[in-house]
Amino acid sequence: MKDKVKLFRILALVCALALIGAACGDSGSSQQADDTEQQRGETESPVIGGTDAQPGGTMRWASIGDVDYMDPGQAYTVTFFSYVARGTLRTLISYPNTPNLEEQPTSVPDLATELGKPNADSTQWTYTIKDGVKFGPAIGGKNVPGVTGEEITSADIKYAVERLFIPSVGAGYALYYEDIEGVEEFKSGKADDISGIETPDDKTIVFNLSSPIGDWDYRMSMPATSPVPKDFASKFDQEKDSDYDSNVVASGPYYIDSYTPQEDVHMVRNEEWDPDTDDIREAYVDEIEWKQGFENAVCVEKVLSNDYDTAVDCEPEGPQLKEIVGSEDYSSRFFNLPIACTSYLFMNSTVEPFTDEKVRQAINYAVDKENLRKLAGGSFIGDHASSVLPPGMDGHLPTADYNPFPTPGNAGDPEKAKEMLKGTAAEGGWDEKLLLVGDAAGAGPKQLESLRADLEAIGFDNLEIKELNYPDYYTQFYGVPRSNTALGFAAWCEDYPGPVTFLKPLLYGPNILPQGNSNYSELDDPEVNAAIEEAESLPTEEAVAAWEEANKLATEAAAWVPLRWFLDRDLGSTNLVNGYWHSYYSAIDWPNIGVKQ
Amino acid sequence: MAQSATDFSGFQATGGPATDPDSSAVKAKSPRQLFWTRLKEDRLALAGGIAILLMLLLALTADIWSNVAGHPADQQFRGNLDAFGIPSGPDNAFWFGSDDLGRDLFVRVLYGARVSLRIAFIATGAEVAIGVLAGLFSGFRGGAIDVVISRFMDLVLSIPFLLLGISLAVAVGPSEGLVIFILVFFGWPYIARIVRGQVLSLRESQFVEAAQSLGASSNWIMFREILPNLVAPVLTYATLIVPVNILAEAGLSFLGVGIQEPTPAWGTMLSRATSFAANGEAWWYMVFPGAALFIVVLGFNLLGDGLRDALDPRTGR
Repeated sequence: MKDKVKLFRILALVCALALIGAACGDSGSSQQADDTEQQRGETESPVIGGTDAQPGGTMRWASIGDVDYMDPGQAYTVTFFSYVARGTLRTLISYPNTPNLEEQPTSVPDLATELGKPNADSTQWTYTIKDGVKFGPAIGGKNVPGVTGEEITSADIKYAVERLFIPSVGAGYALYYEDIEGVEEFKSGKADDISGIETPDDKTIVFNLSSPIGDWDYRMSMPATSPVPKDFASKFDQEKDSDYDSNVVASGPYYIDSYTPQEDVHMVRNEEWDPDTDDIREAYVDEIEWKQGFENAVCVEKVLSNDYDTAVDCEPEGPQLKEIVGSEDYSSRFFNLPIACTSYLFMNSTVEPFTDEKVRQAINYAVDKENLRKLAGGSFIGDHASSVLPPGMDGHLPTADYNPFPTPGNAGDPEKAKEMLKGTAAEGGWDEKLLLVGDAAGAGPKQLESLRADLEAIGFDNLEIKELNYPDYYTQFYGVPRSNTALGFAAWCEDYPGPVTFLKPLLYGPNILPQGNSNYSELDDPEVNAAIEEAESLPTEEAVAAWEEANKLATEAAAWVPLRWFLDRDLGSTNLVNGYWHSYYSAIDWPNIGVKQ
Repeated sequence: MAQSATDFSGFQATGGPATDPDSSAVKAKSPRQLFWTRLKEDRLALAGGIAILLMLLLALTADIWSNVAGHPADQQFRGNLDAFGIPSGPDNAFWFGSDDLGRDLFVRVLYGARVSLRIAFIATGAEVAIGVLAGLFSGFRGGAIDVVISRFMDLVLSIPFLLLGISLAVAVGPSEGLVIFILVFFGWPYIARIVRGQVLSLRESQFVEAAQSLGASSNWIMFREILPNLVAPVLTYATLIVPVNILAEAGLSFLGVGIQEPTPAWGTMLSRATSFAANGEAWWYMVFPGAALFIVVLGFNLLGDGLRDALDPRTGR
């Protein structure tokens, strides 16, 4: 739960730097908004270098940092999901290899022969594994006897899920699998396996759930559910901290040939991978050379200059953004497309005066979103958000249809805010100290200053500002209710394409934890709670209206000032062929991209 | 760097009329007269002094300039940022352009001078006070006191300045008081060492022996006989330590552990200008605070060298 934060680590790291910013009411802003709306209308990703990719060659990546883990049971970052798991691990379900932005976030079978077959009330999901899919070598190119070259079975997937509940692994998003029957018994040690996962034969796996879950297919696309050979991995998992992290067995078209943390990763072809079993990976290039440790702007520059083929976790900010969109060459290989993330300013609903919903609503009017965004680089980093759920997600409400706290040019309306404060404890201002926390890097400090000025304008003039580096502000302040953080800048990205991955961890009352909390605003609103529970219990197709309702209730409870729905800022080199961008991965879909030779 | 300036001004001083060997009417001059004569002939030192005075004047009148411009130091003129958040350059209203929040850079550079000079002067004053006392006692009393003080100075000087500064700022939270404390903590041993060395030689001089034989107490000798003889080296060294403190403060602020927003500080400005400068944007953001820092530091160094030559004619000859 606490590591939920990690999924958006890289996005947030780079975006949140830039993120939080917003507004100025100058005439330029409406123009920018129009530009961005146009980008939202795109249905196809741009494709670099035509579509005629040929096998062979080396793709080179540049990054600031590393993955958090190589073990899919522990890893919880975009860097791992998109740049390691997509090419080295296979899951029952995955996402299609197409530049079509609408198709990209849909489920397709990968290891499974077809999508999951639910029973009538979605409490039982059945999958069949393809024939001829085999394990490859482990990290470092080690051939594991009895594993490498052997067929992947249903037991390997069952063990992958089981180990999420073993303390030595401790997966960050195990919560998505807690509804499998028998998890409690397994966790407490009363059972040796999870009884709700049945493996009637080597190719069939059945998940029995204690409550209906309509989006189970999506949960089977998360890398933690990729097959893990029990006999090999369990001896690592029985240690205090599992060392399977250094011994991950590949199942995708590539395996990790060498890995030096924080320095470089080398991936090569997995000869055990059979292209006939894989409909979503072409595996054009022979090898990947991934160099880490660049400074953000340098990392971006390396891709612009074609020294590297893509930028893993670095994103252009203000001045570089200006340079890129002003250049025909650069902008033709700049993927500035929507991803399902929201950045926001949360208000702690247990800290005076934010205990009062009216005060929180007033703050929604006071914040100059346009300046916060501009400070981070302007309209190319995202659209102004008017509610919790980002575009492309069920329950999303476009700003044109729903904007409960509108201000001119999104630049804030201090007069309206002051009016809202009348009759509340904060009428005329608030003099007691309020703790405001934010990012110390990138645009973070500027955005804190911008917000300070906005709040001073409505009389909140005793802010104690703390700037910390990512992820310390999450782990030391936001996630710890007794820190009494009154206000903080945060951001969140989907785990899979479903609104439950937003509302449940972020705004669901029963989810407030003393440590590793992700409901930073500590909102416990009975109406909001009920709406989330209602929507989650419905089958995906029928749930849309219920999610819209939950989105509205959560937005109007005003525990957040929603700031921005993200646009990704990924780059590719002119060296790529069939270089398209994938919205689920917020990255180029590298196993389906070739290089010029 | 300081050495070449010293040699140069020293050379000038020898050529001046005050020491002209052909001057027949030898007139007795008081040490103070000698000092002024020598200093006045050192043009570089004078230029340094004038630069410092100008910057002091600007710093003290920052409020007036802020009113003239009509821009309070903390007011964010958000229209001065373009669509990418890049600030606008110098024009009629914003003489030095805007900073990354749209604030008036001219006004902020002036307030930055105020902060910078205030911290440097306070820190230097405290360093001199502590350093002189420690050096006096260490050098004059000798024995166990000398050992304790000298070893403690060695200890302080062996602690890495930046690492301790950053750690402290992280531990207790950055503030102006903390910056001054860090500067003083690391600065006083330099003065103490110089004073101790001077005292060691003065202690053996005849006028001290004379005072001792007349039955003067140790305190009398330290403060009435020796201390006045330390004025020249201490004054010189203090002048040279001011720019060191200014740079150290700017360095801490640059690293984010010194003066905190929204208080204007040159180091912070330079640090925040780098993200634009890397792409050739917003040159003014780096140039003006950088120039202010450069002028003040150079001014104090030139003046300090001049003072040394003027106060102690033996150097540089």
